[in-house]
Amino acid sequence: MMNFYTKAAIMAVGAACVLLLAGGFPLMGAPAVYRGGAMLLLGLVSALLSLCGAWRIASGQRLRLVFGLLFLFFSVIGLVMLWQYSAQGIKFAEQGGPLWMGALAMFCTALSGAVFFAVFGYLTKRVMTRRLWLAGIHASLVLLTIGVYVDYKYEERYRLILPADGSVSTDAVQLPEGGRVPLGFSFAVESFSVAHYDDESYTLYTLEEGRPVRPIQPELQGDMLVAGKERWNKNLLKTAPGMPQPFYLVPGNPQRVILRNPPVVKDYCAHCLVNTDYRGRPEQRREQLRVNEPISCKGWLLSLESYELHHGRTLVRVQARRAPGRIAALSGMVGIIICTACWCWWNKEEEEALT
Amino acid sequence: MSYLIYTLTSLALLFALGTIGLHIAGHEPAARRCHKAVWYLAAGLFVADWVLAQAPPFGNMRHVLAFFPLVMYPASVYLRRYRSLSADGWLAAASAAALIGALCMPLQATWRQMPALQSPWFAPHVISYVLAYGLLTVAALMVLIHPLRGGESIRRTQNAGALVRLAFPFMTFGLWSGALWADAAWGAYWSWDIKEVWALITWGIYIIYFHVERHAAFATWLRPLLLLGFAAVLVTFFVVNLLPNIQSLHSYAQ
Repeated sequence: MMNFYTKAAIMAVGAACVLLLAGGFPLMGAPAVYRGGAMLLLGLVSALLSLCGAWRIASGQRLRLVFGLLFLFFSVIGLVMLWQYSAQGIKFAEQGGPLWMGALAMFCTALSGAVFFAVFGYLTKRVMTRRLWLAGIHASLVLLTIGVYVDYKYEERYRLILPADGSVSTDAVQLPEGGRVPLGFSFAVESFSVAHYDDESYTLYTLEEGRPVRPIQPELQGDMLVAGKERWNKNLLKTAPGMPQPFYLVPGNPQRVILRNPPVVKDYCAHCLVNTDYRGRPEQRREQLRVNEPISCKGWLLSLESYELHHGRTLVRVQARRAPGRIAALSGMVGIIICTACWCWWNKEEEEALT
Repeated sequence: MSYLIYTLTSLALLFALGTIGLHIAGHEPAARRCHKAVWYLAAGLFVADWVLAQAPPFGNMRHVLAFFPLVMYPASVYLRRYRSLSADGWLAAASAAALIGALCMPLQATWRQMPALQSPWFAPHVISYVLAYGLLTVAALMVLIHPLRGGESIRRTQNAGALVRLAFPFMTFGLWSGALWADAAWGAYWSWDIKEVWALITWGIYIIYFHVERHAAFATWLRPLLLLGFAAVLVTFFVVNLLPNIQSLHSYAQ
């Protein structure tokens, strides 16, 4: 017989799926439902049911579950140490630090991380059972929901647009309505570098009423551009005022044009100066801000969004975000990933033999 | 390079179709060898795509579809060894469908990896989704092409369940690793992007499947749930990317 909680969980997840569908239907969706009261209520109900689920599934082994999840947490910390801080050692060496120091830092942190991971991973495996992994999924879902709710309520997110010449240092966010949010540190972008892929590519367009349509990408064979049976020498392409890229008008009817594609951005990086303090003492840090590599300072997470050229100046868009529920939410996600894998792939026969 | 890519794709498709034919004819060892040939061709295709893209080739739909057969053969080996399930024909059918899709898509020879995609999460995120979607396709095919009642029906539903159990952790990793990646790349772990929402709907449907799986009273739900989950997979993977006029943070995957 299915118990009340399982039935309620099915109904809650089903209702959440229907609400998500209402907003996520490709053409006629209503995304406002995601932040509506019904969705918040369903999230709360799902979290409570997950908590009940974890409590009931781990019945008689609750202390074991707590220890198992703690051991899991420490083994993940070991992995993060192994991954992140050893990478920091390499980065330090790359930024001009002595190579041996980078290597030593890498080795020490990697070793500590490996030891953490091995010891706590072993303990986790000893403590957890398939049933407890299932309880762990439910507990992680609760942690995720708590983090999401805290962020929904208290997250702060602002956009900073700074010139990339170090001329502006900001220590607060100016709000459009006139307010001011202090960051607790000052921040400037000293320089900005953009790298492009060095390959060249071309597109052949047909012109219809002056508009380029039906793009075809000719293949580059030596100096020749080849599209089907047609071939053109790439040196035919010329620049002209008002045209950002070289082009060639192909004679004949219909009118066609070959354009050299603009170079594709490979990477961009903002070199930042952060003036902050460490336990009351002033501290100046130089950081490289890249996409995928945010920097953190005083509870704020700074992420590089994009850049634009404005009257010959490069303006860098940076997102400043303070999300108090982030760690709980991310921990919940990691917990769900690991517990799901262990629950689904746990060797049932082995466990039955043990019990 | 484009000729090489299309030739390899076509050959892999032919061998995948051959695997299905041999499986239907009951020549399992030959089907296995044929499926292995698909894997070698797909590996060649993967290398060619990597050379052309100058980065791990997971950046657009054709890349991902062409990668499908590469994970389907190891999945068949795993299922044969550890689940005693001979599924070469089924998995080759999923590969064939993906390869037909890859052949229909433009080559996008000028595709280059944009900065947001240059992350350690990129390859694991895509590979786990490809594995999950491939296995769930097979699970759906298994329950779709079978009689509604009888012992064979029960056996196939159980086999499909084993596949879902194998696939679900990959899907879970894909979904939540995407959120962890988005936290670093976009400064938000969840943006209610349409692709994210559909991935969450799909995940939710399989969550319901796991809640009803062990209860005999809900045995009739399993088949519709597997098909519903597969429909959600199709919408997440294809419809959201291919429909015009859809604004998505995942638009680079088109």
